[in-house]
Amino acid sequence: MKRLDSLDGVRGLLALYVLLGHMAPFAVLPDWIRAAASHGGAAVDIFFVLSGLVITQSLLRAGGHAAPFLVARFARIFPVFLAVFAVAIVVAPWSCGFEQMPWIGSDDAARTICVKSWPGAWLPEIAAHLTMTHGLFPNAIWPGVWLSFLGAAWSLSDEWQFYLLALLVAGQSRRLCWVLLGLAVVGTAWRLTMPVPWQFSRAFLPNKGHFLHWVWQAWPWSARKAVR
Amino acid sequence: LGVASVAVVRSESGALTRYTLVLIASLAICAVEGSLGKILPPLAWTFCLAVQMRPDLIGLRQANALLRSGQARYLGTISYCLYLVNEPIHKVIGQVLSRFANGDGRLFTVLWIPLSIGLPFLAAMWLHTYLEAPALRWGREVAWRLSDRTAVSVHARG
Repeated sequence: MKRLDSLDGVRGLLALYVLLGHMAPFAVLPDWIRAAASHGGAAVDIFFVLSGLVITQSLLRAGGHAAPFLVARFARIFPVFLAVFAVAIVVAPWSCGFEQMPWIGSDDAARTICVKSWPGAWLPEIAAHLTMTHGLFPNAIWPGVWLSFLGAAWSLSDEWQFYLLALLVAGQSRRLCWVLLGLAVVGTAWRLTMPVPWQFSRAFLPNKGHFLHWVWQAWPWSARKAVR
Repeated sequence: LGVASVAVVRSESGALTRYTLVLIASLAICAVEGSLGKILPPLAWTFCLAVQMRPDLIGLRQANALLRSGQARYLGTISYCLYLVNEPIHKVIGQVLSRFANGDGRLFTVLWIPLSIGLPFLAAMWLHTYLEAPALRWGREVAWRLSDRTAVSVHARG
């Protein structure tokens, strides 16, 4: 199989773009530069697509077996996450210094990127992050947990939901794919009909319904061919 | 789309047709969101996949050279650390610099840009070298041992 070296480069440029997107809102820069750096969400979406490719390859390499796959993903995600998360907990109650940045308006993007907060239910929120379940709750049940302490970690909850889903689909029949498509439809219907407090965040995988759809479209044939 | 890309990367027969179908479905779903930012990722990804698979095509050569450059690939290697670590570091730099600049936006910006890019890079390089790379080696080793054991057990059952 070809080494995916140019896709490594894609990953690098995306990470650089996200970094610039987090940097720009704090600086005094022309509007066009700030606007050009403001599509970090699109960069994270491409990260997800890359994950779809890499994780499927990883699962196929593990022969569809859960244990080696999960160990490899744990080693990839958790050590760095735990180290950075510990630092994020320490600095969570610190001020961002906005009181001395008069050029930052009250609705500026910088205020959503950097937040001074210490959640009341800090211990359960830490536990939710350590179990990667922080993306599973709508605001009405557990407001803001998906973004607490370390905002960038919201996508890790999505990742783990996707890992478990990929494992389920790999181990089951094609019928399960129809169940997944049904889940995606239910997720979309939920989004269209439920009041805002009961909406799930983007850290909840069915809200990335296209992911499920892509899995449904792509997984059965790719898995069958590779495992055979 | 990422999962659909596996067959393209493996050069399986009919993969391109299936990828195109998935891409059309993805674009349709993204279009429902109604913004350019949502439609762009599937297209940008398709371009990157084309650069990976057909670097000989006209116009893709330069993009391929950029993406395969040592710098871009190293960035890719430390990308996960960089993605996670920039937020708490920015908070610390912002707090220190805002006191130092004392309301002077220009002075803050002149110091903020190099520090808010450079320090997360240094931290990401450190994290990758001393934490991520050893953890990945450990993970590969354990996963390989587990795969081997699973294969032996399946063979024994079969």
